[in-house]
Amino acid sequence: MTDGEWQKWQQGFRKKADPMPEIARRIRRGQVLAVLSNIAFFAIALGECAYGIRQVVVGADPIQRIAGVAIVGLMCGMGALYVAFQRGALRGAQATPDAYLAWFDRRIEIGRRLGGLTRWAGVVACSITAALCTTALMQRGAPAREYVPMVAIVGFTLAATQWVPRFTRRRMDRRREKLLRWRGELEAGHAAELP
Amino acid sequence: MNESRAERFERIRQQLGPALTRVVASYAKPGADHDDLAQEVLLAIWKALPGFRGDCSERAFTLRVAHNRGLNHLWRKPDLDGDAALERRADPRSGADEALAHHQESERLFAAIRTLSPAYRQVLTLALEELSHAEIAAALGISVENVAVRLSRARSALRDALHEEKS
Repeated sequence: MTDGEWQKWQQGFRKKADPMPEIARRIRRGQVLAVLSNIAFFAIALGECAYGIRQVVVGADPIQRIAGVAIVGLMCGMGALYVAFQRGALRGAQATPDAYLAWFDRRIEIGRRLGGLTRWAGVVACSITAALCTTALMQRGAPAREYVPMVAIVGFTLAATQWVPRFTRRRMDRRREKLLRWRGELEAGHAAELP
Repeated sequence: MNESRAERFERIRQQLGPALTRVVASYAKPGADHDDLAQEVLLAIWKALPGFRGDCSERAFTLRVAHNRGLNHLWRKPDLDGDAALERRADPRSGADEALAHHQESERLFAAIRTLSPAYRQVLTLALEELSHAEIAAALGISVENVAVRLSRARSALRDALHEEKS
Protein backbone atom coordinates (compact mmCIF):
# COMPACT_ATOMS: atom_id res chain seq x y z
CA MET A 1 0.00 0.00 0.00
CA THR A 2 1.43 3.42 -0.96
CA ASP A 3 1.19 6.67 0.99
CA GLY A 4 -0.46 8.23 -2.03
CA GLU A 5 -3.24 5.66 -2.00
CA TRP A 6 -3.79 6.15 1.73
CA GLN A 7 -3.88 9.94 1.34
CA LYS A 8 -6.37 9.60 -1.49
CA TRP A 9 -8.63 7.51 0.73
CA GLN A 10 -8.21 9.99 3.55
CA GLN A 11 -9.20 12.87 1.27
CA GLY A 12 -12.27 10.98 0.06
CA PHE A 13 -13.11 10.06 3.64
CA ARG A 14 -12.78 13.62 4.94
CA LYS A 15 -14.95 15.00 2.16
CA LYS A 16 -17.92 13.77 4.09
CA ALA A 17 -18.14 16.42 6.78
CA ASP A 18 -21.84 17.12 7.28
CA PRO A 19 -22.79 18.30 10.76
CA MET A 20 -24.75 15.96 12.99
CA PRO A 21 -28.46 16.70 13.43
CA GLU A 22 -29.80 18.84 16.26
CA ILE A 23 -31.51 16.52 18.72
CA ALA A 24 -31.99 18.73 21.80
CA ARG A 25 -35.78 18.37 21.57
CA ARG A 26 -35.53 14.61 21.21
CA ILE A 27 -33.21 14.43 24.23
CA ARG A 28 -35.62 16.50 26.34
CA ARG A 29 -38.55 14.37 25.19
CA GLY A 30 -36.57 11.21 25.94
CA GLN A 31 -35.67 12.42 29.42
CA VAL A 32 -39.30 13.28 30.22
CA LEU A 33 -40.48 9.93 28.84
CA ALA A 34 -37.81 8.07 30.83
CA VAL A 35 -38.85 9.78 34.07
CA LEU A 36 -42.54 9.19 33.34
CA SER A 37 -42.02 5.53 32.45
CA ASN A 38 -39.95 5.00 35.63
CA ILE A 39 -42.63 6.68 37.76
CA ALA A 40 -45.40 4.71 36.04
CA PHE A 41 -43.58 1.38 36.34
CA PHE A 42 -42.63 1.74 40.00
CA ALA A 43 -46.03 3.21 40.95
CA ILE A 44 -47.77 0.19 39.40
CA ALA A 45 -45.26 -2.21 40.97
CA LEU A 46 -45.66 -0.62 44.43
CA GLY A 47 -49.45 -0.63 44.07
CA GLU A 48 -49.42 -4.31 43.10
CA CYS A 49 -47.04 -5.13 45.97
CA ALA A 50 -49.27 -3.30 48.47
CA TYR A 51 -52.27 -5.23 47.14
CA GLY A 52 -50.37 -8.53 47.32
CA ILE A 53 -49.17 -7.88 50.89
CA ARG A 54 -52.73 -7.00 51.91
CA GLN A 55 -53.93 -10.29 50.41
CA VAL A 56 -51.30 -12.19 52.42
CA VAL A 57 -52.06 -10.38 55.69
CA VAL A 58 -55.86 -10.23 55.63
CA GLY A 59 -56.64 -12.99 53.11
CA ALA A 60 -59.48 -15.20 54.35
CA ASP A 61 -58.54 -18.35 52.44
CA PRO A 62 -55.25 -19.95 51.29
CA ILE A 63 -55.92 -19.14 47.61
CA GLN A 64 -55.90 -15.40 48.34
CA ARG A 65 -52.68 -15.69 50.36
CA ILE A 66 -50.94 -17.71 47.62
CA ALA A 67 -52.05 -15.18 45.03
CA GLY A 68 -50.71 -12.37 47.24
CA VAL A 69 -47.29 -14.01 47.55
CA ALA A 70 -47.22 -14.64 43.78
CA ILE A 71 -48.05 -11.00 43.02
CA VAL A 72 -45.34 -9.67 45.37
CA GLY A 73 -42.77 -12.12 43.95
CA LEU A 74 -43.66 -11.25 40.36
CA MET A 75 -43.44 -7.51 40.98
CA CYS A 76 -40.09 -7.79 42.81
CA GLY A 77 -38.71 -9.93 39.97
CA MET A 78 -39.96 -7.52 37.31
CA GLY A 79 -38.50 -4.54 39.23
CA ALA A 80 -35.10 -6.22 39.49
CA LEU A 81 -35.14 -7.09 35.76
CA TYR A 82 -36.16 -3.54 34.84
CA VAL A 83 -33.27 -1.99 36.80
CA ALA A 84 -30.77 -4.63 35.60
CA PHE A 85 -31.77 -4.09 31.98
CA GLN A 86 -31.38 -0.31 32.21
CA ARG A 87 -27.96 -0.54 33.90
CA GLY A 88 -26.79 -3.26 31.52
CA ALA A 89 -27.80 -1.23 28.47
CA LEU A 90 -25.86 1.78 29.78
CA ARG A 91 -22.71 -0.23 30.53
CA GLY A 92 -22.89 -2.05 27.19
CA ALA A 93 -23.02 1.17 25.18
CA GLN A 94 -19.66 2.32 26.60
CA ALA A 95 -17.85 -1.00 26.38
CA THR A 96 -15.02 -1.80 23.98
CA PRO A 97 -16.13 -3.65 20.81
CA ASP A 98 -14.99 -7.05 22.17
CA ALA A 99 -16.86 -6.45 25.42
CA TYR A 100 -19.81 -5.13 23.44
CA LEU A 101 -19.98 -8.34 21.41
CA ALA A 102 -19.71 -10.32 24.65
CA TRP A 103 -22.60 -8.24 25.96
CA PHE A 104 -24.62 -9.10 22.82
CA ASP A 105 -23.80 -12.73 23.43
CA ARG A 106 -25.06 -12.52 27.02
CA ARG A 107 -28.23 -10.83 25.80
CA ILE A 108 -28.81 -13.63 23.31
CA GLU A 109 -28.17 -16.29 25.95
CA ILE A 110 -30.47 -14.59 28.47
CA GLY A 111 -33.11 -14.22 25.76
CA ARG A 112 -32.86 -17.91 24.89
CA ARG A 113 -33.02 -19.03 28.52
CA LEU A 114 -35.86 -16.67 29.32
CA GLY A 115 -37.68 -18.05 26.28
CA GLY A 116 -37.45 -21.61 27.60
CA LEU A 117 -38.37 -20.46 31.09
CA THR A 118 -41.34 -18.49 29.78
CA ARG A 119 -42.76 -21.56 28.05
CA TRP A 120 -42.55 -23.69 31.18
CA ALA A 121 -43.68 -20.84 33.43
CA GLY A 122 -46.61 -20.25 31.07
CA VAL A 123 -47.73 -23.87 31.33
CA VAL A 124 -47.34 -23.92 35.13
CA ALA A 125 -48.96 -20.51 35.74
CA CYS A 126 -51.87 -21.21 33.38
CA SER A 127 -52.48 -24.64 34.93
CA ILE A 128 -52.44 -23.24 38.48
CA THR A 129 -54.64 -20.27 37.51
CA ALA A 130 -57.11 -22.53 35.73
CA ALA A 131 -57.22 -24.93 38.69
CA LEU A 132 -57.63 -22.16 41.29
CA CYS A 133 -60.27 -20.28 39.28
CA THR A 134 -62.20 -23.44 38.52
CA THR A 135 -62.16 -24.44 42.21
CA ALA A 136 -63.30 -20.98 43.29
CA LEU A 137 -66.10 -20.90 40.68
CA MET A 138 -67.25 -24.41 41.58
CA GLN A 139 -67.32 -23.55 45.29
CA ARG A 140 -69.55 -20.59 44.46
CA GLY A 141 -71.70 -22.70 42.17
CA ALA A 142 -71.18 -20.16 39.38
CA PRO A 143 -73.06 -20.61 36.07
CA ALA A 144 -71.15 -21.81 32.96
CA ARG A 145 -70.93 -18.34 31.38
CA GLU A 146 -68.69 -17.15 34.25
CA TYR A 147 -66.09 -19.70 33.16
CA VAL A 148 -65.79 -18.12 29.69
CA PRO A 149 -63.56 -15.13 30.59
CA MET A 150 -61.26 -17.38 32.62
CA VAL A 151 -60.92 -19.90 29.76
CA ALA A 152 -60.32 -17.10 27.24
CA ILE A 153 -57.66 -15.36 29.34
CA VAL A 154 -55.87 -18.58 30.29
CA GLY A 155 -56.03 -19.83 26.68
CA PHE A 156 -54.66 -16.59 25.27
CA THR A 157 -51.88 -16.42 27.87
CA LEU A 158 -50.92 -20.04 27.24
CA ALA A 159 -50.80 -19.49 23.46
CA ALA A 160 -48.74 -16.31 23.86
CA THR A 161 -46.25 -17.90 26.26
CA GLN A 162 -45.75 -20.80 23.84
CA TRP A 163 -45.60 -18.86 20.57
CA VAL A 164 -43.63 -15.71 21.47
CA PRO A 165 -40.55 -17.58 22.82
CA ARG A 166 -40.37 -19.67 19.62
CA PHE A 167 -40.39 -16.53 17.49
CA THR A 168 -37.80 -14.86 19.78
CA ARG A 169 -35.58 -17.94 19.69
CA ARG A 170 -35.49 -18.01 15.89
CA ARG A 171 -34.57 -14.33 15.82
CA MET A 172 -31.89 -14.84 18.47
CA ASP A 173 -30.44 -17.77 16.50
CA ARG A 174 -30.10 -15.59 13.39
CA ARG A 175 -28.41 -12.86 15.41
CA ARG A 176 -26.10 -15.35 17.07
CA GLU A 177 -24.92 -16.58 13.65
CA LYS A 178 -23.94 -13.05 12.73
CA LEU A 179 -22.30 -12.51 16.11
CA LEU A 180 -20.24 -15.71 15.78
CA ARG A 181 -19.00 -14.55 12.38
CA TRP A 182 -17.94 -11.18 13.78
CA ARG A 183 -16.27 -12.76 16.80
CA GLY A 184 -14.43 -15.13 14.49
CA GLU A 185 -13.09 -12.16 12.56
CA LEU A 186 -12.07 -10.39 15.76
CA GLU A 187 -10.36 -13.51 17.10
CA ALA A 188 -8.54 -13.95 13.80
CA GLY A 189 -7.21 -10.44 14.31
CA HIS A 190 -6.05 -11.31 17.84
CA ALA A 191 -4.44 -14.55 16.67
CA ALA A 192 -2.52 -12.69 14.00
CA GLU A 193 -0.76 -10.80 16.76
CA LEU A 194 0.80 -13.96 18.16
CA PRO A 195 4.29 -14.99 16.86
CA MET B 1 -13.73 23.12 34.09
CA ASN B 2 -17.36 23.25 35.22
CA GLU B 3 -19.11 22.18 32.07
CA SER B 4 -22.67 20.92 32.31
CA ARG B 5 -23.69 17.71 30.57
CA ALA B 6 -25.71 19.66 27.99
CA GLU B 7 -22.83 22.06 27.27
CA ARG B 8 -20.38 19.20 26.98
CA PHE B 9 -22.69 17.31 24.66
CA GLU B 10 -23.19 20.36 22.46
CA ARG B 11 -19.44 20.96 22.30
CA ILE B 12 -18.85 17.34 21.27
CA ARG B 13 -21.62 17.55 18.69
CA GLN B 14 -20.01 20.66 17.18
CA GLN B 15 -16.38 19.52 17.35
CA LEU B 16 -16.80 15.86 16.45
CA GLY B 17 -19.90 16.24 14.25
CA PRO B 18 -18.10 15.54 10.94
CA ALA B 19 -16.21 12.57 12.45
CA LEU B 20 -19.47 11.16 13.82
CA THR B 21 -21.11 11.67 10.42
CA ARG B 22 -18.34 9.57 8.90
CA VAL B 23 -18.84 6.82 11.50
CA VAL B 24 -22.55 6.82 10.70
CA ALA B 25 -21.82 6.71 6.95
CA SER B 26 -19.61 3.67 7.47
CA TYR B 27 -22.60 1.76 8.89
CA ALA B 28 -25.65 3.15 7.08
CA LYS B 29 -26.42 4.11 3.51
CA PRO B 30 -27.33 7.75 2.80
CA GLY B 31 -31.02 8.39 3.37
CA ALA B 32 -33.48 7.73 6.13
CA ASP B 33 -31.37 4.90 7.52
CA HIS B 34 -28.40 7.28 7.87
CA ASP B 35 -30.50 9.98 9.58
CA ASP B 36 -31.98 7.49 12.02
CA LEU B 37 -28.58 6.13 12.96
CA ALA B 38 -27.16 9.67 13.35
CA GLN B 39 -29.85 10.44 15.90
CA GLU B 40 -29.33 7.11 17.65
CA VAL B 41 -25.58 7.77 17.87
CA LEU B 42 -26.07 11.22 19.41
CA LEU B 43 -28.61 9.83 21.86
CA ALA B 44 -26.18 7.06 22.86
CA ILE B 45 -23.41 9.64 23.39
CA TRP B 46 -25.74 11.77 25.51
CA LYS B 47 -26.58 8.76 27.69
CA ALA B 48 -22.97 7.58 27.90
CA LEU B 49 -21.41 10.96 28.81
CA PRO B 50 -21.87 10.67 32.61
CA GLY B 51 -20.09 7.30 32.45
CA PHE B 52 -16.90 8.73 30.90
CA ARG B 53 -14.10 8.12 33.42
CA GLY B 54 -11.17 9.41 31.38
CA ASP B 55 -9.68 5.97 30.60
CA CYS B 56 -9.05 7.28 27.07
CA SER B 57 -9.39 10.60 25.25
CA GLU B 58 -12.85 12.11 24.94
CA ARG B 59 -12.63 11.75 21.16
CA ALA B 60 -11.77 8.06 21.38
CA PHE B 61 -14.57 7.47 23.91
CA THR B 62 -17.14 9.28 21.74
CA LEU B 63 -16.11 7.40 18.61
CA ARG B 64 -16.22 4.10 20.52
CA VAL B 65 -19.80 4.78 21.63
CA ALA B 66 -20.68 5.76 18.05
CA HIS B 67 -19.14 2.56 16.66
CA ASN B 68 -20.99 0.48 19.24
CA ARG B 69 -24.23 2.08 18.14
CA GLY B 70 -23.32 1.32 14.53
CA LEU B 71 -22.61 -2.28 15.48
CA ASN B 72 -25.99 -2.46 17.16
CA HIS B 73 -27.55 -1.09 13.97
CA LEU B 74 -25.86 -3.80 11.87
CA TRP B 75 -26.84 -6.47 14.35
CA ARG B 76 -30.49 -5.53 14.30
CA LYS B 77 -30.77 -5.10 10.52
CA PRO B 78 -29.78 -8.36 8.82
CA ASP B 79 -30.84 -7.12 5.36
CA LEU B 80 -27.99 -4.60 5.28
CA ASP B 81 -25.48 -7.34 4.50
CA GLY B 82 -26.99 -7.80 1.09
CA ASP B 83 -26.96 -4.12 0.24
CA ALA B 84 -23.30 -3.92 -0.67
CA ALA B 85 -23.90 -4.86 -4.31
CA LEU B 86 -26.63 -2.26 -4.65
CA GLU B 87 -24.37 0.39 -3.15
CA ARG B 88 -21.67 -0.36 -5.67
CA ARG B 89 -23.96 0.05 -8.67
CA ALA B 90 -22.47 2.81 -10.84
CA ASP B 91 -24.41 6.00 -11.31
CA PRO B 92 -24.88 6.79 -15.07
CA ARG B 93 -24.20 10.48 -14.37
CA SER B 94 -20.69 9.74 -13.10
CA GLY B 95 -18.05 11.95 -14.69
CA ALA B 96 -20.60 14.56 -15.81
CA ASP B 97 -19.50 17.07 -13.27
CA GLU B 98 -16.27 17.26 -11.30
CA ALA B 99 -17.92 18.10 -7.98
CA LEU B 100 -20.36 15.27 -8.48
CA ALA B 101 -17.49 12.97 -9.38
CA HIS B 102 -15.67 13.93 -6.17
CA HIS B 103 -18.83 13.32 -4.18
CA GLN B 104 -19.30 9.96 -5.86
CA GLU B 105 -15.70 9.05 -5.18
CA SER B 106 -16.32 9.69 -1.50
CA GLU B 107 -19.60 7.74 -1.58
CA ARG B 108 -17.84 4.83 -3.33
CA LEU B 109 -15.24 4.79 -0.59
CA PHE B 110 -17.93 4.66 2.11
CA ALA B 111 -19.83 1.99 0.17
CA ALA B 112 -16.61 -0.09 0.08
CA ILE B 113 -16.04 0.52 3.80
CA ARG B 114 -19.58 -0.72 4.49
CA THR B 115 -18.72 -4.04 2.87
CA LEU B 116 -15.89 -4.69 5.37
CA SER B 117 -16.33 -6.71 8.53
CA PRO B 118 -17.00 -4.64 11.67
CA ALA B 119 -13.51 -5.34 13.07
CA TYR B 120 -11.80 -3.93 9.97
CA ARG B 121 -14.33 -1.17 9.53
CA GLN B 122 -13.72 0.18 13.02
CA VAL B 123 -9.95 0.18 12.91
CA LEU B 124 -9.87 1.63 9.39
CA THR B 125 -12.28 4.49 10.04
CA LEU B 126 -10.47 5.42 13.26
CA ALA B 127 -7.15 5.43 11.39
CA LEU B 128 -8.65 7.54 8.60
CA GLU B 129 -9.77 9.95 11.34
CA GLU B 130 -6.04 10.30 12.11
CA LEU B 131 -6.23 8.79 15.58
CA SER B 132 -2.87 7.48 16.74
CA HIS B 133 -2.41 3.71 17.12
CA ALA B 134 -2.43 4.19 20.91
CA GLU B 135 -5.74 6.07 20.73
CA ILE B 136 -7.26 3.41 18.48
CA ALA B 137 -6.05 0.73 20.89
CA ALA B 138 -7.67 2.58 23.80
CA ALA B 139 -10.92 3.05 21.87
CA LEU B 140 -11.14 -0.58 20.77
CA GLY B 141 -9.68 -2.14 23.92
CA ILE B 142 -6.93 -4.00 22.02
CA SER B 143 -3.13 -3.82 22.00
CA VAL B 144 -1.20 -1.40 19.80
CA GLU B 145 0.35 -4.39 17.96
CA ASN B 146 -3.09 -5.72 17.20
CA VAL B 147 -4.11 -2.33 15.84
CA ALA B 148 -1.21 -2.49 13.38
CA VAL B 149 -2.07 -6.03 12.27
CA ARG B 150 -5.76 -5.31 11.96
CA LEU B 151 -5.16 -2.05 10.13
CA SER B 152 -2.87 -3.71 7.62
CA ARG B 153 -5.51 -6.34 6.88
CA ALA B 154 -8.26 -3.74 6.76
CA ARG B 155 -6.32 -1.72 4.17
CA SER B 156 -5.90 -4.79 1.99
CA ALA B 157 -9.59 -5.62 2.36
CA LEU B 158 -10.57 -2.07 1.41
CA ARG B 159 -8.25 -2.08 -1.60
CA ASP B 160 -9.77 -5.40 -2.73
CA ALA B 161 -13.28 -4.02 -2.27
CA LEU B 162 -12.47 -0.92 -4.32
CA HIS B 163 -10.76 -2.95 -7.08
CA GLU B 164 -13.66 -5.39 -7.18
CA GLU B 165 -15.99 -2.48 -7.68
CA LYS B 166 -13.91 -1.04 -10.53
CA SER B 167 -13.62 -4.38 -12.32
